[in-house]
Amino acid sequence: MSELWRYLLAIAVWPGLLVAAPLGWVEVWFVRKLVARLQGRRGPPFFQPFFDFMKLLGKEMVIPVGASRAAFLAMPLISLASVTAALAIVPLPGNPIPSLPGDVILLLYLLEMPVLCEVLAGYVSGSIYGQVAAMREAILSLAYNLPFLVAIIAMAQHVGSFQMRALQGAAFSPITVIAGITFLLALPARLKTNPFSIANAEHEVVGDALVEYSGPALGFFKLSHAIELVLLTQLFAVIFVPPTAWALLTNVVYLAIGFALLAGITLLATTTGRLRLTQAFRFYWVWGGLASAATLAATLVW
Amino acid sequence: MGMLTTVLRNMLHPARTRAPADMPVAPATFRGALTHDASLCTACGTCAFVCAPKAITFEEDPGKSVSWLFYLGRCSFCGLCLQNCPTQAIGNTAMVPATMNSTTGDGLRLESVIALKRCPRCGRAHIPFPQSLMADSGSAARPEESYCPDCRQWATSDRLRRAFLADDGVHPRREGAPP
Repeated sequence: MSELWRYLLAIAVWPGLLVAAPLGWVEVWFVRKLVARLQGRRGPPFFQPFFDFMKLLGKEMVIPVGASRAAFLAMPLISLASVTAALAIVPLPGNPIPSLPGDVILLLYLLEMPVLCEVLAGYVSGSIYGQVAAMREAILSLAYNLPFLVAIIAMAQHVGSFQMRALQGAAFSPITVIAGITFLLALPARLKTNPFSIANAEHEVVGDALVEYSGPALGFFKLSHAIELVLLTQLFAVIFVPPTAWALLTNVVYLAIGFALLAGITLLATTTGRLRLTQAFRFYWVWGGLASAATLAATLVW
Repeated sequence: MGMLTTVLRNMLHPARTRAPADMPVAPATFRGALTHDASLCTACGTCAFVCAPKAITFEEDPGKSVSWLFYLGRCSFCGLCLQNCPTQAIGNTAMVPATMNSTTGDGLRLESVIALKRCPRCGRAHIPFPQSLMADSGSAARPEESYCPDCRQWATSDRLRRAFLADDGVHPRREGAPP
C-alpha cells in the first residue's frame, strides 16, 4: 500500500472519520444517558446523537448579517478536519500511518485547533453572547492548557522522544501516574463539563460560542465535538495505559478506559455546580500549576 | 457527599419521567378527547354556540352532508358542549387526547360527517331525526318517521285534524301548507 493510501485510510476510516464518528455518537449518547439516569430521568434513545446530526444536516443554515460567510462556514470544517487528523496520528492498534518523528508536537497543535475554531466562530458570528462565550473559552484554555500540555510533554521528556509510538511504549512508572492525574485534572475543562462548563453556560450566555450557528454548520461542529470526545479519551489511554500484546484486546481496553473516564467526568459534572471564570482560572493555576510542577519534578527524579 | 448519594440513588431507582406509551391512568371523570356520534346529531349548532374558544364548527355540503368539525388545539376541555347537547351526540373519553400520547398522525382535528337524507314526501334533503328520540316523540314506526321536519310537522297536525274533524271536504287543505 502506498504512503498516500495509508494516510487516506487513517483519516477516512480507522481511526479516522468513519469509525470515530459513530464511536463519538455512542460516547455522546453514553454521557447524555448517564447524566439523565443520575438525575432520575429516562435519557435519550441510543440513536439520538445520530438523529440530531442528520436533522441538523437537513435544516436551513442562517448566516448572521455582517458575519464573514467564508470564515463562518470554514470554522466547523477546520475543526472537524483537525480532530480527525489528530485522531489519525494517535497510534491506536491497527492505525496504518507509520509513526512520524515529532508527531506529538503536531498532535498538540491539532488538539488546539477545535478550541481556536470555536473561539473564532464566536467572534465571527458577531453575536454578543457568542463573543462572551468565546472570550470565556479563550481565557479558560489559558488555564487548563498548563496541566494538559505539561502532562503530555512530561511523558515525552520521560521517554526522551516526541514520537507517539515511543510514548505508547513507555514503561509504567510513577511518572505515568502523576502525569495521568495531571492530564485528568485538565480533562473536564477541556470537555467543557461541570464545574468548568463556563464557556457553554446556557443560563448565562444563552448557549456557547456557537450560539449563531445552525443547520449543517452546527452539525459539523457537534460532530467534531463528538470525535473530540473519542480523541481525548483514547489519547489518555494511549499515553498512560501500557498496551497489551494483542492489538484487538488493546483496543477493547482503550475503549473501556475511554468509557470509564467519561463516566467519571459525567459523575463529577452531575454532582457539581458551575464555577465562575475567576474560580476556575485560579483552580487551574494553583492546583493545576502544582500538579504540573510535581509532574515535571517527577521526570527529573525518575 | 449529599449530591453523590442523591445521584447514585437516582441511578438505582427507575426513572421518574414517563415514556409516551406509559401514561398514568386517567380518573373516570377526566374530560379528555371528545367523541361524536353522527347518528344522534341533529346539527342544531348548540355545541358550536356554547363553545367559547370556537373549537367546534359546522360545515355544510349542500344537499349531501353536514360536517361536525372539532379542533383539539383550541379546546379548553370545559365540557359545555357535552352538557348542552340535547341529543347526547357528543361524549368524551377518559383518555388523554391522541395528540398528547401519540406521535403518529395528526390527531388534532376530528371530523364527523352527518349524511343528509331525502324526504320521501317532499324530496328535500334533511338531517334524519335520531331513531332513539323518535321513539320518545311517539312518531316511531309511522310513515312520517323519515320525513323532513316540515313534513313531520304537517303530518302531526294532519293527524290531529283528522282525529277531530271528519274529512268531509268542507275543510279543504290550507293554502301554503306543505304538499
